[in-house]
Amino acid sequence: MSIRAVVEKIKSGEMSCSELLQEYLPKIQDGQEKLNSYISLFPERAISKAKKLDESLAAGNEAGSMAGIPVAIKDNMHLEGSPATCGSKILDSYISPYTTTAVKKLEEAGAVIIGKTNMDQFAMGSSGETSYYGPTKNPKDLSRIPGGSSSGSAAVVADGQVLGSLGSDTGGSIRQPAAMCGVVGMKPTYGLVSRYGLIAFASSLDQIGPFADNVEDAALMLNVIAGYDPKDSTSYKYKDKIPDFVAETKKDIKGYKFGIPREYMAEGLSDEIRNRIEDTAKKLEKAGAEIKEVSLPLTKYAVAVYYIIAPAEASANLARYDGVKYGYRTPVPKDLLDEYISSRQEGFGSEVKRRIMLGTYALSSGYYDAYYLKAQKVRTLMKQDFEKVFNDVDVILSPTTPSTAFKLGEKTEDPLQMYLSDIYTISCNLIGIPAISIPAGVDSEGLPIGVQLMCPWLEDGRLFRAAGAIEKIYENAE
Amino acid sequence: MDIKEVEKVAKLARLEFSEEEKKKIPDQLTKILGFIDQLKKIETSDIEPMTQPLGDEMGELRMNEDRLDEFIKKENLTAIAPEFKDGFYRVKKVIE
Repeated sequence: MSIRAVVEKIKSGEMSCSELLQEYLPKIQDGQEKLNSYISLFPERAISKAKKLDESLAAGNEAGSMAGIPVAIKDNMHLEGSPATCGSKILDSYISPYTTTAVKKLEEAGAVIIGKTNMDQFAMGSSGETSYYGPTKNPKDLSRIPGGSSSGSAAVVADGQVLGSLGSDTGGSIRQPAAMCGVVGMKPTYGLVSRYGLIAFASSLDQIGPFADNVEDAALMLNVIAGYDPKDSTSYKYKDKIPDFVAETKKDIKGYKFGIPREYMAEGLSDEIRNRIEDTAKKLEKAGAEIKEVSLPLTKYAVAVYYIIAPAEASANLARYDGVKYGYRTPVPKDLLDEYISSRQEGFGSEVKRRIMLGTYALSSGYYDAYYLKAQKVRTLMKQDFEKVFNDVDVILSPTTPSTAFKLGEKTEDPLQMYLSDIYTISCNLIGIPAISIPAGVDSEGLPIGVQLMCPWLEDGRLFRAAGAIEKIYENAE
Repeated sequence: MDIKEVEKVAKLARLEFSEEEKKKIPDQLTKILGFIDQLKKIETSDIEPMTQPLGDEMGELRMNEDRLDEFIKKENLTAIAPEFKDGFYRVKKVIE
């Protein structure tokens, strides 16, 4: 059932917010035991919120577009009074002193937040396995990873525990777990959603985005959270009105040109996923769209560029975790320097430390030009590549991931192996364009396959239009 | 990266690795840096670095007014401090 349909029931009085929540609470408790998808759960807070909403509606107040809808939030965002750990020991004791703008907007629209979801530590990971609180399991196969870093947020939607969730995407951390779990996950244009209150990993790449069961729900959530925020200096101010993303999902795509980059369909991609993309292309042609092969020649360098820029920015953003004002402090420091070093050494996980090291090195004197500056220049070249392609096509169609969900422990030995699984999602973050992963059936083992769409900067409306059309095509095909 | 370089960078990053970690870290970092080295092949001498994904569309860089804004709920901040007393965050002695 869509969020809109549920809200209609609430508006008509057919169901109360409290009743709705009571339906979901058992699913949430069971889900947590099965999947380890939450770091903190606060049913009492949720029950109280639902009750207040019911009272407000009974008093004749208008229902928001998310009235009563149970949602979950990735644990790298703030909700005042609740824990925010980023999946790390170093923030295990941290209680949010304020609320993230995007979260506030959801609550103002009536959403009932039931908990904070598990994630790779500081959003650094593609499987959920770097979390201090243990990995989340994929609801479709408990021996497999759900993807990462927004592992819990994807899993709880896929498992039917909530109707929507928020994640964050720095190199694919919404889209990849969405593909692995069989749900919709969307990364907006950089700057469309405020980053105020999102605990920073890489400031020029991070974006908050929605997970949902279907395209319309994701669009509805983006309607709520998008918009200029003066508290975020990288927040984009639309010159005209922001499109209604839900309305966009209903429009047709006759005459749309879809480009499939040949570098995204080459070796390394599973045959079953490749076939699914080709099949999607055929269905699109039948529906009146045009399919072209395009080229993004710098694709093979994308992971390398990312693994300089993201760790470099992270090394700066994570310098604040020093045990002084909040978070973990080492119990018996020798002196102030030891207080810093031991708090960080004991508080951070190994992947986080690895990336801080990479980033510090890439920014250090003597290496800055060869690494960081070089990567920023290649980033400009990548942007030019995409601009060329978007002069030719309206939407880029590609796989989201090279494989379906792998087994827990399969890629943890070799960090580089894990990094390479981000190949199809990572470019979007580097250049700031919006992208979405939508479910495209399952493979021969029953594991979800995701199909990715990308659009030019600020064409999030067009993205939802294409996503809605493809979703409809799949539904009709069944 | 060799172990000496690792120790130097670690000091800059305010990290310190255990003996166990020191066995693996140099190799892991060397391998990743080796992978990153392929960027050398790309010609970038006339290219401007990208620092901002939306570039010109973002418009002029916004500067905030130079004014003090009070964080309203200070008790939220002091409540989560490891050690807070008399309006100060307490740390190990800095001056002898």
